[in-house]
Amino acid sequence: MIGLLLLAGALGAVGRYLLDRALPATHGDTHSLWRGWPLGILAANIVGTFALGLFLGYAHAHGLELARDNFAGSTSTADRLWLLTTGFCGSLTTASTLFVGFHLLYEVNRARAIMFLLGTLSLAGTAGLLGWLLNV
Amino acid sequence: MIRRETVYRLFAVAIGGALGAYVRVGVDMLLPANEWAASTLLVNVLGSTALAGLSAYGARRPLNPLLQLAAGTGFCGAFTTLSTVLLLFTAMSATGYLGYLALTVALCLAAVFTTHRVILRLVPASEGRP
Repeated sequence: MIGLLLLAGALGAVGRYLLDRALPATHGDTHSLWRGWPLGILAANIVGTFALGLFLGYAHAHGLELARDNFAGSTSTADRLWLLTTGFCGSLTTASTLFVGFHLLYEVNRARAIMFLLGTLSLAGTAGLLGWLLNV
Repeated sequence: MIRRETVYRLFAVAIGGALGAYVRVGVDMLLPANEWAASTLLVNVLGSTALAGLSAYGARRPLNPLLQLAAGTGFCGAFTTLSTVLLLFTAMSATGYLGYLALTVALCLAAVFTTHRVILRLVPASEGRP
């Protein structure tokens, strides 16, 4: 049971790392508000929040309770979903990198940093809402 | 052929990420069950503080790249979470959700900016540099 949570957390972090390595920071001219965004972190947050919305929507539609206290380490759908949501999606998405990334951008260009923060929150938030509403 | 260095890096991120997720769940278990996701706010503020400290320290002194990957990208990245925060609209009123979001941003940014300043002040630039 602990092993599965460790595995899900590891996979989420590795996925985020690979996205960060694969997607370079955005280009754009010196005054562009879109320049220097860590695209990989943005992508990880969008994909992870969309996936969480999808999983939570599924659990909600099927009346599954995903609280940690219900986790029994079994192969039941509820337990698999708990690992995917808390373990994988929780690790794939990150708040610390977002806020430290904001700080790094802020020291160069304040408006750019604010755009990055609002852009991440609105894009990832919309992705999460879409996942929740899809209800597959 | 995958380079050995790449494997080390992936392992560093994986080990840090596994521990980060595990400790995040541990913090949640330590706190009494509540309706307003107190543990998510707590891990995000703590993890943002830790990553800001690591990043500021790294700007002063060279850190082992594998340690930085394990502690920063792996642990802090996985310990904190954005998806849980953004999906809280499923469990809260609209006002509560927006308030929680604003509180998370305000507290985490305050922690990051403060920690960065404090670490840069505590850790002087390496000797031998002008």
